[in-house]
Amino acid sequence: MDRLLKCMAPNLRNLFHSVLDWDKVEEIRLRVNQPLVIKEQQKEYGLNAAGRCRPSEGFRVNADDIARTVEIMAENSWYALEDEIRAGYLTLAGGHRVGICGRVVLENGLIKTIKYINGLHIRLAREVPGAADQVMPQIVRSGRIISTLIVSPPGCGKTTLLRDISRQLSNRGFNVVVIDERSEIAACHHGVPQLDVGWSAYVLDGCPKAQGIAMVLRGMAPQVIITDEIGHPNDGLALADAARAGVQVIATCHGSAWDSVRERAWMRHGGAAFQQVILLSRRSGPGTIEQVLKLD
Amino acid sequence: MLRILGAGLVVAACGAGGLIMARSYSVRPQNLQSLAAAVQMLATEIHYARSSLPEACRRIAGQIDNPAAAFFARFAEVLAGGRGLTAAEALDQSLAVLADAGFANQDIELISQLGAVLGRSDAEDQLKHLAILYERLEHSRIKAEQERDKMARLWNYLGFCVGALVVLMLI
Repeated sequence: MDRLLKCMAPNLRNLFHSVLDWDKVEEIRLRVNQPLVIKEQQKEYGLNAAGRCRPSEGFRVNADDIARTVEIMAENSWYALEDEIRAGYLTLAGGHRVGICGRVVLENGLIKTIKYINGLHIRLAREVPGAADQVMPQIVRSGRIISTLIVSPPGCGKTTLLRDISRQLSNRGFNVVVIDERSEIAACHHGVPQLDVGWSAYVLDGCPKAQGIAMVLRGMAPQVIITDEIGHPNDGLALADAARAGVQVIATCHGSAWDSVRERAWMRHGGAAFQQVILLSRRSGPGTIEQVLKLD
Repeated sequence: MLRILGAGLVVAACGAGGLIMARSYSVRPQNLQSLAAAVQMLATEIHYARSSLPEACRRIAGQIDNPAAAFFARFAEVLAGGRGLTAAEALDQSLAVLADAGFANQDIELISQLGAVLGRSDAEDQLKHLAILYERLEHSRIKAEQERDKMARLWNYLGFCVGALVVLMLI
């Protein structure tokens, strides 16, 4: 966690000595003039000079702490991360994801940047090797990959599952291409995957999915394309192209029930790219498989 | 004979002193030119490669001459040192390299003003600030060259004239 702590303002770094088990920490929340909060699985706590405490008694983060932390996280190079900041997040070395809140600046109706940053939501990246063990027999049958859509509400472990599917397929020698539009699957930092997606996986980082699918179909000869959070109608068109090209797709999308997902616009073309759907929940912890649906 | 030799030595010594003074006026324009070139390179790194500030400064340090190279290398090192400094603080800590190399205070001041904005906005804004700094450095360089031309000519002659005057007074 040294690398993560080095991304914090010096003023905040010393507070973290009382975090004993970093493996349990899921989130760190910094908000201007509010207490620093740490979320560990189902509980939350604050930190102060004496150690762990109730959030309301914790150290209060000020605007300078936030500004300094953002500057360090951006490696003093805001301009180099414009696209990520416009999308509302940064990816740190180690694959940790930082959501950014503040005053949004618009230009011609589009987000130009975020200023007066008032909140940072740090989600710690964690690899869970073996997370996909339970679904792999469904994904690879008789040596063939079955195109699969993974559906769940946020926070149910879709991306973790997808990453481990990539790792396992790739390590079995399949030619895997990961299109990682938001740098969440491989968590690339300066182009280098920070999380294990397998030894034979290529990663197209920061690329919009529809364009990325077209690119890799032309140049990478993939056997399987892995991508996260399908949602735009153009994604559906690109998925249909991949299916026509005989390329298998493993993808995720937000949703709590298959009936609501199948009605979405992107499904009109993209639905045909999938042969099965896996529904996840948090019922028995992140990554609980609720149902596997075969599609006609 | 000894007198003539002595007189010759006095004129030569004063003349050499004048030439050294004249030469000192050519250092500042060179320094400013080197800094202005580095600023343009930084703008290119930001515009085309979107390199992070430490990476861009490290690369620039490898492509220019000292003392500007030493300054950029130091700035990159301080930025990447993991001490949680802002770009402004890192720049302040690196300016000593320029001061030690004999940069004029007004030139150091120009660079230090960049600290307030460097790395803290989008590329478009960064390029505007760098263009302004480049203009200022170029303006200072032109003025320094004019001063060099004027003062260098003066010192080139003045040294020998002073030497001759001293000889005349001693005879």
